[in-house]
Amino acid sequence: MSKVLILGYGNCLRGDDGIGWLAAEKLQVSLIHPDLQVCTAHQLYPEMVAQLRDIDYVIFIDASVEGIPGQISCSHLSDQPVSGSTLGHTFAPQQLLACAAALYGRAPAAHLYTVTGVSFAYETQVSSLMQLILPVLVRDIERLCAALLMEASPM
Amino acid sequence: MSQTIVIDPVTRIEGHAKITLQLDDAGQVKEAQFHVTQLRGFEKFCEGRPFYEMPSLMARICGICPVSHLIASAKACDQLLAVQIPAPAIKLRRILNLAQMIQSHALSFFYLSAPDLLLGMDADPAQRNIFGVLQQEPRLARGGIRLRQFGQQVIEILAGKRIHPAWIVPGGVSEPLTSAKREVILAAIPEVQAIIEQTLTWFKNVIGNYREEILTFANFPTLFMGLVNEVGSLEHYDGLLRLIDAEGNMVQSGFPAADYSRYLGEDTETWSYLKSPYYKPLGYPQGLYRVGPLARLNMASWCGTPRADEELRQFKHLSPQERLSSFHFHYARLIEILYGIEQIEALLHEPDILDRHVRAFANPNCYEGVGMAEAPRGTLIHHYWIDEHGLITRANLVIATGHNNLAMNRGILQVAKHFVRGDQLTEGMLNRVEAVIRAYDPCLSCSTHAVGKMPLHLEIHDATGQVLHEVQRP
Repeated sequence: MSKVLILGYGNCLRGDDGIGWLAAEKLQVSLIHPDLQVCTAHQLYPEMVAQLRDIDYVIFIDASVEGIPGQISCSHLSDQPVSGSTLGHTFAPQQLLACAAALYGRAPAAHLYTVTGVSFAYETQVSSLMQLILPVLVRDIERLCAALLMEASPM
Repeated sequence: MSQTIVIDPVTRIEGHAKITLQLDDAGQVKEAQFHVTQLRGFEKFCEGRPFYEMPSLMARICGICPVSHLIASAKACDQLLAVQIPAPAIKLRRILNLAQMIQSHALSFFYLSAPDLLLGMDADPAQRNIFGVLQQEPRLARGGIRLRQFGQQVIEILAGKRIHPAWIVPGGVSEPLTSAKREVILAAIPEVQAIIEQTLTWFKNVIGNYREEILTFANFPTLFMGLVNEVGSLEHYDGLLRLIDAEGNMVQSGFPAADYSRYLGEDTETWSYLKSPYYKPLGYPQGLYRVGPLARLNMASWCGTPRADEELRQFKHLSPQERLSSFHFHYARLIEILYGIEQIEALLHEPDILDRHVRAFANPNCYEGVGMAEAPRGTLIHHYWIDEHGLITRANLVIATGHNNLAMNRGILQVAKHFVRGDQLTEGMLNRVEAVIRAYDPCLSCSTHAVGKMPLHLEIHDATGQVLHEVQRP
């Protein structure tokens, strides 16, 4: 039973939108722990709520169009229902957490890492800026994971 | 004074549509049109591509039912190769097709339509969505999520990924099934079968609340069309295409995929990019017919699996009038989910299901191939022509949702005439117009994922075009 779940998502055919997926792929190699699960996806969808049931912490990784290109942001997410929610092509992390809370009576603690992209054009590679930022992003998440896993399984 | 009501979604990325209602001087609905406003272009941009790319290309038509396009496309390519597909490969393709049907039907029922069925057509749109279902009936919501997850997991286990897998190829499938993978799928069967049976019980208890909708949701006599096999049971992968009338009488006993253009025509209207297929002997638009779960169950004598057969018997006990109602697409979907689960289990126990010979290889031996299969929404046809180099020279796709276009338009008119009053528009009226479209579960569901609160911009114009009244729903 994994206590920490990392979900990196995005469209790898749309340039920097793939940064979340790329970061998760790196973390799948660099972070090996019995209480850690790392997944990639094109987007978040309601069926993922089943994965959250037995998780203590979830870390979402996504691209963003807000802010300065290359900017890494990390925010703590609430599981409160998002107002005006509709199920469409975008399904936000908060909606997933709200689903978990409604279905299982609890939602894991959650962080959202975003990286502001440069280009979201039809490309299979991320921009050179994202390639520079990627190791920094991965390192930040590794540190957070190390702390969370220590907390989940204190020695 | 005549008026026009336009229901136009303002925020959509894929699958765009709008509805126009024309009122007469008395404020009653006189005409209705369902406009599909996006152009895909797949039939054109695949010209010049090698035929063996077609399954992967065509799978990109849809993110909900890519497997259907994979199967129809691969079957068309099978004909180009003129090969005999190994029996295990056919069974594996069937399993994948059924898994997709399960997840697609689960999406339609639990995510898109259950909010109306559980919370009511007139419920507050802010609550009439999947979150409202989660809060009011968490067990129902959990079940729906699990069913969709099961279908997607089977697809991922067999084909490598949930969306746009590349496993189905011309000649068969690219890899055999392993024993370990089979056991993983089989282990989940009891749980998901229990879920769908509970859902059917719940549904049969609540449909009494929708007598008015059942009588008015595209409830009119039409032909029904779908695949049939040699024993007359429910069929999704192969067989002949049959048409029956509203009383169940045979209209066209069955023709092979290659003959579809002899019996089915396609017309166009200036106000929609969606083609309108029709049954040629009756002409356009009299030759309208319906496809999909309701058509398939009205045509099938039995399902071929024990629990689904029992449910089909109960379905057949509905009155002939009720069985014509497009509202009962929902009922039919649930029965098909049950059938799909039972049939997947049966196929996984076939003695040759783990056989390693799952693909036939050849170069093209024909210049024309037609592939046909039942997608979740109805009959899907892919028709390809190639040159001597195996490059596509022409493609014609008859999409499942297109078959229902004429019926959807007539359905909108019927429900709008019954529920819509131009002088006292309510949100519930609009929702019922949307709901009849949802009953068909068109692939335009890409544009109607907003359960319970579809973004709408409604304008009422007078005969001069002046806006008399405007309602916006963000």
